[in-house]
Amino acid sequence: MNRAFDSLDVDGIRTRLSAFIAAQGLSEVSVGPLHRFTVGFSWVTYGFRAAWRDQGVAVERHLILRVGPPNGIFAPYKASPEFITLRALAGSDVPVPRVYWYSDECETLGAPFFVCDLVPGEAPIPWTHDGGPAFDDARRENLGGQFVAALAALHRFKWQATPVAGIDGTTDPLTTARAQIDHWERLLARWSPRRVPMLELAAIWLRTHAPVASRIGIVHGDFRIGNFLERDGRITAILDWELVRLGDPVEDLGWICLQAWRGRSPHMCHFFTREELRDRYAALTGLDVSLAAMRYWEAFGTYKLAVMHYAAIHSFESGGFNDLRMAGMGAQIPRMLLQVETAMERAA
Amino acid sequence: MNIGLQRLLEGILATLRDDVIPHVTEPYARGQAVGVIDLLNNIGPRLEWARGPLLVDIEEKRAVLHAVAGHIPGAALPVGHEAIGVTTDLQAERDRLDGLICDVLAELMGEGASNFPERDQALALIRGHLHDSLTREMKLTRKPLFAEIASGKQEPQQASAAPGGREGSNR
Repeated sequence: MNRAFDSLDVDGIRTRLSAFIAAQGLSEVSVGPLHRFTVGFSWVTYGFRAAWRDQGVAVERHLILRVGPPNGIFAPYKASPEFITLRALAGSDVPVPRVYWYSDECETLGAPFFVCDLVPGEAPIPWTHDGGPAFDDARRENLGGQFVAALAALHRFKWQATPVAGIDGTTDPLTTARAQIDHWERLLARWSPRRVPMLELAAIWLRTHAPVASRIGIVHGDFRIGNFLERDGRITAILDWELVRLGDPVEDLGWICLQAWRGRSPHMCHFFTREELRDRYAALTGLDVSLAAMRYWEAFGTYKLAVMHYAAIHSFESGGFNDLRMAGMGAQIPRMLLQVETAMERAA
Repeated sequence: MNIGLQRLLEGILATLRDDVIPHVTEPYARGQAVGVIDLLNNIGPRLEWARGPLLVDIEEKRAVLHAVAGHIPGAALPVGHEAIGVTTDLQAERDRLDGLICDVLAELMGEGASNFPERDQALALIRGHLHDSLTREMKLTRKPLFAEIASGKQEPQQASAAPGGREGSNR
């Protein structure tokens, strides 16, 4: 029987999670107190220590539990795409947290969830107090190199013979871009009772100019500053894979170029000019990507981010999600729609 | 604003009551926070979204649709011209006109676009209106405080716009 997810019932979650872990064939399972982290806009996140015995071997870990709440911004959630991708990428050149268990069902916690290692580090964020650069030149070079190397490794990853082949996405190079537009257009219709002329105009334009993908790869979907951890000058993990899918990898390059991730910095995600990003990516992947293709996907990404702002409004206004940051995103919709217009004009 | 005013007030009140005040330990600060709730409870029933910007927007949407109709042979767009009463009616009329603009965009940019020799002029009118309307709204929109919200630390100034970000780990 499905139970309702109560994010505040940490003791209940702890008890049920403990039973779930034990049911995975492990013994002497011990789950410590859960501490909720209030950061993040989508999944509800808890940290905890856990110990268990696996085939006689004692294991102890500091773990993260992420739960996709029924009233969250992108509800209804599925944990499997992120879990499957992270598990497949373990041991690759993409730094990712080790994952342990997941469920797409609601029987255990009342919502889908997964458990992974807590990775130490800090996440640099795109916003600086004066809108200027987030990094000095040395840090920009060091972290920027690792940032694009992780993306290149993701896009080079041979997913075809792995379970990743079963996650969402469109693998036909001819239609994968249009499928993404259709997907986000459907989401907008679900989240906004109002029709939005700028977004309908953008969707028509994007569909008319949709490129044929030169290849299909794993698209992270939210690859940017703010979604990786850094410790002592090293990127320790790429995070927030909830939008992962199969598609045109250039989508991730376009997303990096969004105005929203750089403020007044001339550098995409505070790291590179568009040309530098293209050249470094090409050097690492052997793939030539045109600036025109990157601008197209930047326009698409800006459209997608605008639609996500309507998701925030919907979750606040109709979903009972009482996080005022959602309402705050709603207040910024005129800014987002003007950014859609600018990105579309740049790509035209 | 894209959110209902009463829902927004409910959200602010609930956040103060459930998420903020329990963590305010200094008695004077706590009293002031409760004072905010008291004031919002009394102000709420007397508030509605400003009518002025809505009226301007509706007037401009009607004007642009009239002008666009002149570039579409045989078009009979139900633009409307009647005066409207309460704010919710104004919002509904704005939404109706936006829907009409969307329909025209689909027609002008769709497969039958070549049937409209003055398509470019019509599209330019609509795009000009959308830009002007959003620019007006931006004059009412303050820069977001996402850096301060994400970090929970007071910053002297904020300058960019986007969600996300955290510190400490993959929490």
